[in-house]
Amino acid sequence: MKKLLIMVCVIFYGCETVVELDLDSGSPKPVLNGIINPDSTLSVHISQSKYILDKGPFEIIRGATVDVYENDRWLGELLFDSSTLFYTHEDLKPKRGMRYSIEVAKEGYENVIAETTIPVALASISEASVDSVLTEGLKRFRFHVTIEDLPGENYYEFVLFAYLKILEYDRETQVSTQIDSILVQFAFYTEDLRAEDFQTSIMTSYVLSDNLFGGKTYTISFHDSRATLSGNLAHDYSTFIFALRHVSKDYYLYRRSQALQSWVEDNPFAEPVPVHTNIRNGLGIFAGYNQSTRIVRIK
Amino acid sequence: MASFFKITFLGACLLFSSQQLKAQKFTISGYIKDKRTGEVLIGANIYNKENYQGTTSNKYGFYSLTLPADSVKLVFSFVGYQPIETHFYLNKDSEMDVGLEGVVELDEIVISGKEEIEEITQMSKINIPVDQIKAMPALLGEVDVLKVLQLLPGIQSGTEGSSGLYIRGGGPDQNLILLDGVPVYNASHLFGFFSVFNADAINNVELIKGGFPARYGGRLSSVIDITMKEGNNEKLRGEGAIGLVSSKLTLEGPIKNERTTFLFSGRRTYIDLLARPLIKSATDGDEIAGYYFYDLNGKINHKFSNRDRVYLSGYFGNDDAYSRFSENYELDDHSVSSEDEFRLAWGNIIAAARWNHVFNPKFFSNLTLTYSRYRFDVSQYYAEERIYVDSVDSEEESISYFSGIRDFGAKIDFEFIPDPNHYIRFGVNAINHTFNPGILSFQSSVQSDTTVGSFRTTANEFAAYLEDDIRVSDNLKINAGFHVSAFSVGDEFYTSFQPRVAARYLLNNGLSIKGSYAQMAQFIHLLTNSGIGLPTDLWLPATERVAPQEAHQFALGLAKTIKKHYEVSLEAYYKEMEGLIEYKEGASFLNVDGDWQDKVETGRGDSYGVELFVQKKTGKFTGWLGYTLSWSNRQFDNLNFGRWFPYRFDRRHDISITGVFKVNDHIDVSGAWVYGTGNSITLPSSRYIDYSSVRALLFNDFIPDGVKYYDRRNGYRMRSYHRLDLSIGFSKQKKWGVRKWTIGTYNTYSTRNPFFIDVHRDFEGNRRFIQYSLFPIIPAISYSFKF
Repeated sequence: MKKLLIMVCVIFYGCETVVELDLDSGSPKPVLNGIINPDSTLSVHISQSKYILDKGPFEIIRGATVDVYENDRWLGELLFDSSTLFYTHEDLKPKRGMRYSIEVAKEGYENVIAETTIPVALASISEASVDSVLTEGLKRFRFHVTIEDLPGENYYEFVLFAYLKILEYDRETQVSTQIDSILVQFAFYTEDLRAEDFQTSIMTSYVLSDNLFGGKTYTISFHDSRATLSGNLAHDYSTFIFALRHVSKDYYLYRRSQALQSWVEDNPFAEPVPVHTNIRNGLGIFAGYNQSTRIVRIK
Repeated sequence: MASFFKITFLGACLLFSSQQLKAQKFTISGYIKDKRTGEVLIGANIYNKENYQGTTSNKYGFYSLTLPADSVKLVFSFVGYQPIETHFYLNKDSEMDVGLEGVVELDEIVISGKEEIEEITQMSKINIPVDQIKAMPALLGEVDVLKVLQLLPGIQSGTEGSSGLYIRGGGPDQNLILLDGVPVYNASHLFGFFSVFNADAINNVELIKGGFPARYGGRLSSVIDITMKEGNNEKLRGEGAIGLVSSKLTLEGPIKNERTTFLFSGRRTYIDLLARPLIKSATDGDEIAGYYFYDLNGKINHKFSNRDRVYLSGYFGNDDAYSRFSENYELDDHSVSSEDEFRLAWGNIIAAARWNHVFNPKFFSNLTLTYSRYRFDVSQYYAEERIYVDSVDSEEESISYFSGIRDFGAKIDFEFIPDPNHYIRFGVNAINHTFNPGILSFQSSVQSDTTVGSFRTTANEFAAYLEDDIRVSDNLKINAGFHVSAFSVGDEFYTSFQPRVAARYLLNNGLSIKGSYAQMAQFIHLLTNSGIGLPTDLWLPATERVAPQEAHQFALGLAKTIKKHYEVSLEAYYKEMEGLIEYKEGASFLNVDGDWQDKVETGRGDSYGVELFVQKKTGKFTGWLGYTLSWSNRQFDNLNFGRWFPYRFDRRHDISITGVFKVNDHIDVSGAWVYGTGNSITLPSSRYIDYSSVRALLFNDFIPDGVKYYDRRNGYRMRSYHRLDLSIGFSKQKKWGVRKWTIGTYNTYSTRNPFFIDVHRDFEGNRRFIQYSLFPIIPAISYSFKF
């Protein structure tokens, strides 16, 4: 449709004009990204935004003072780790039910403030199974997950992990041997949920609200949409790890709006989508989750 | 005792008869017409010079004036016509049909024929004479009623070239566009570049943008009441034009006698006919593609008597874009023939049957039965046949999407004019709506058939009204009334009581102060996110989840006629709207999956501003100057993070200057210059990294796209819009009638006005803002004739 619209312009005029717009390119905004959970150390990433037409890389903000508070009590200062580009503190792990605040001070910026609470309740997967079907001559997995919805308004993220084998190829014997394995997110899709419940461009996780579940158990089936691998990587189909994350509402809104923005990028008739943020005096997301997992081994 | 009763009875009779004699009044009534064509004159002025009382003809040309038994000096007048004055002694009810004769306005002596602007209670109402509309310069020479209305203050045009109307901050769905009393749902051809109204078939255009009288309802922002001609009752006449884009022909005349008249008008574009041979020859005859639109107007009137008239009118119009491709080829063991067809079509069908009945000289009624249908269709069909030596394989697939609305309606309106101090109107109406809010159907010979989308919904709308135009004193006139309406859809039943009041106070210096308040309700919505009036816009009902729209509008103004020729009005308005709908962020009509109610957000809006209008309707030079200073905003809980944002067509300044100068009997020159603040659009101002990409920053050679940051919805203004259109017409009297050559230019100084702006990224990753424009200077020439 975008082409149609441009074609209409061209038919009538053929007139594209490169224009200088008086957009507020002003000073870049600080961007704080931090998704925290009780299984990992508390860490956040701080960068700055760039003008829409700028081509260069996103710039990391170094040398900021990053204070962390737990239920308004000062917990410690996160320090910049140049190997990961995150501000972190290896002794700090978030706890369920606690409220965490971050305050970032850096010369040239207003103090950036963000807050999130790690959900108390742990969402659980009551059943998980894997079977397979032949689709166009290929064996494709199907994953069935039964979720126990928690009481009240809840938001979840579903992630599926699987192992990838790292291979070494012996030219002489012409045989590949596994030398290591890594755990990665496995790509999948579902037809059980309406588009607006999960719309996301990242097919390795779904965020969803529990509107559909109504406080009861709910079974969703997912289909395998893994990519074909080449080189020294191969899929390992022996183990799948199902993870259900109980996420904060901010996280859900952020992920949904981000996916939607990407989804409509080339549709000129769709209204632009601003991405949700809960960062005061900045952009990005600071959110928490807790996670339960279930492992399914394929014999 | 008996004598007491006799005396009392006699006394009462004497008293009664003396009072009767003292207050005895009679009514003069009839129709006012163009003497030459028999066409009724709507809004003509009837005025008694003896006591300064008067009235105006209604939309059927009927008038009624009740005056005390006395000598009267009646003046009948209308803009562009020679007034008639008649003297007589009024001592009984009289029927008086009057024919006025048109004059050539080469000098400045013709008096204004309509009630002067300061006299009228109604504010925010504009009439543009059809002749003036036809004399204005037009895009590609196509005279367009709605585009002329866009040049009036308080009315904005949306995007370049579009015929959509955005009135006092309202959306295009909030305009009640009536053609002979029937609502028109999509008034545009060619994606909005032309309107469906053929000016040759139109008698009168009236626009009301505030202070709505109680008789109107169903929309929030305006009423555009277009009346088709009735047809010449003297002899067969015709007019037509041959232009660059289309040709048209209108015929009108009496059938057998002057009691029955007809009008028929047709128009068609012919780019497709011209291009078809070229496309065929370029594709070896395999491909046909094209686009055209046409419309047909027809009307038949029959006068049974001076008390009963019947009108049947209809409109049928369609836009059609199509392509067909077929091919045949041979392979090793079989031959293949295939056919691929695509069609995009939309159009309106409108029909009305009306019966005017005059019960008595003071009591007029009109019964109208209406039908209106708008339908949008997209379809694609593919068929392939593979012929082998001993068998034939074939497959067929078709996919179609359609949406639309269909109405059946009935209404009866009464007008009761007991005396010159009251003009009472009342009536009821009912409409049965059927909505098709976007259904996608897939049929295949090799896969199972599928139908997705929202399902057909029916709803019933009812309304009743009562209003009175009250002349309290020579200085003070009030129009007060109420409109009640109800809407039934599924299990939901909405009702609305809408008070309306307007008043004007005439100061001694001829300046009048006017004020009005109107509450409006609208039970149907238009879901659109193109902003350019695409035929894909969906008409939808209010439902349990999506409430009706409501508006309150206050207006205050001054009006005065200066030097007999210049009508000047200055109005300020404030409007609040609730129940507005917009697509959810990211949703669009391209996604037909699911219920439309899941794709919309509801919110509110406000608009306010000041409008100046200086109009000259008579003399060698006619035209107007309009200026609007306005603000229009929206607030939706789930859009723009709940914050207020400017409406897409929030336009701070809007100026239009138009003029038609009649040089002599043979030459007229016209021009229009418009200026408007740029439209509001949403553009990203920066980008930032999203959480899922932060780890990618470790790799120096990988630069993630990141997330776009929008300061606010509609937070950026495109460049201002301005344009000058010019036209010159050369007329010549021929033996058979009059012919006219018209030469004109649209966008004479070829401004590159913004249509939309996009962020473009080239292969090397460089981003730029690209502004797309539509029309440079467009010259036009047309030949028209009249006989």
